[in-house]
Amino acid sequence: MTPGSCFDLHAFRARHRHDALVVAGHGSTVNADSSTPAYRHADRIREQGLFAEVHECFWKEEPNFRFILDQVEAERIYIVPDFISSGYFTEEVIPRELNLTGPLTRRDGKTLCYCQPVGLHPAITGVLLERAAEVVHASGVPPLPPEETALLIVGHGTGLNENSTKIVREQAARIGAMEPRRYAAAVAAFMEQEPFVKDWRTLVSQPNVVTVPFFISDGLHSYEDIPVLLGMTEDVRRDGILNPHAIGGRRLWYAPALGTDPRLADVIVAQVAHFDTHALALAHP
Amino acid sequence: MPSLSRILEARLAAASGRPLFLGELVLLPARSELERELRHRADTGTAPESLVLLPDLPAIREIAKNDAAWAYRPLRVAPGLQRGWRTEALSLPALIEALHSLYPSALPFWAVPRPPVPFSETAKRQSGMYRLVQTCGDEGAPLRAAVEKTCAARCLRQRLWGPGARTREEIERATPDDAIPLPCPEACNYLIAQVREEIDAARKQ
Ligand code: SF4
Repeated sequence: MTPGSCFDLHAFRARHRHDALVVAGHGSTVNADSSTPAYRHADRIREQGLFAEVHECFWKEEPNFRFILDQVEAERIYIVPDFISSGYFTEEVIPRELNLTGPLTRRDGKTLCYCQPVGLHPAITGVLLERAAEVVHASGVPPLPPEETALLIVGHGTGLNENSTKIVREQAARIGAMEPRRYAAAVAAFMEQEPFVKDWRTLVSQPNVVTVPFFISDGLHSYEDIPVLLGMTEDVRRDGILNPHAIGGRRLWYAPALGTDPRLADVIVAQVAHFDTHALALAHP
Repeated sequence: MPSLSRILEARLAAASGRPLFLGELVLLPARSELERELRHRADTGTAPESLVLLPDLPAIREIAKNDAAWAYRPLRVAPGLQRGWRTEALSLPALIEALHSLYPSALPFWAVPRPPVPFSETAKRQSGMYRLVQTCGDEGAPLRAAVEKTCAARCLRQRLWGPGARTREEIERATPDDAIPLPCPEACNYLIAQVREEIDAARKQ
């Protein structure tokens, strides 16, 4: 199932043709790649003509969260955080900076619909699985036998945002429980807390290991640090990544960050549809 | 308050077919009354065939996001925008989208005036390692140094806040008749990062 197929796109377009979508990401003052996925997703949604206006805004780049609503002309505005989990940014920073009072804020003739972050939508599991299958396919290797393959989902993992740790664990549990089995093991691992990604050799025992970083962009962490922790390379920028990497008699694949997947645009749209059926339905029973 | 498009539409009409400037950009008259082509202002008189046509919004955005050596430009409204390109004739909504991506927030900062935000207020909203900037108040030496090196030396915006701020009226009076002003109502994150570096450097001395 692609995220976009959960509802009728024509009906969605008709419903939202006067509305605005705001994609809210983190951004960076040093790293150009940080905001790239949010821009790409917004571009894709623009091309589909689903909304009258599509805007991006960031915490660390311009246009900034604080001023974004000044440039939006539509009366109904959907705000979707391009974050992998709820937490400090989605629960404190965005509501404060955009002056939101809850999921639904009515102000100055505008209706502000604050949707769930992209990473929380159930469709993200499907994107993760497709991403993992694609990195294997792109390496020229035929589909791997599930019983000989492990999926390693990597998160950052610090005390700062327990929700992001939780969601990585949930994804691993959800994929691990799927019938028929897609992987012999689906395991969560973290850069800065147990179970550590550097211990992958003992975390999973299968001969094939496919790694997907549960990050919103190929920022410094996922792009440069994880392959080093996995033992795939000593310097990603210098040597790049070769999939699969043969190591200790096993094969290891490393996918780009989940948030860079073009299907995330569909998940953003799906979060708007989710808002319509849940939060808006509650407001107008 | 009229919408941003109505305000820009009125400003374009007032320019009555003459080029209109915004920082290093020029909005050139095109075929129809309300369409405009965007270029670097230094390319105003260049023959169109000598310029690279940017086909869509992602291409337009990349021009501002990177310099000619393809290095990241976190401060989009810095001088040194790449030259040698042009857009197609853009209708008003497409023109607005293109301007948002070349000079983020420039249109709302001009068309939707907001009271300037004192630096100490902006500092209060910082978290993590940027909380340090709360120590320099509204006039502190690290703030002055960062403003001097960044806002004054490397940004086309004019500050409505902080040491040496100008009023909106002063900025408008200083802007030529054929240009849209570029006011700055609040310290940007790039400046916040520079202030933090100044505080760090002062501590190490
Ligand atoms: S704070 Fe300074 S550097 Fe940042 S946009 Fe304003 S004037 Fe430019």
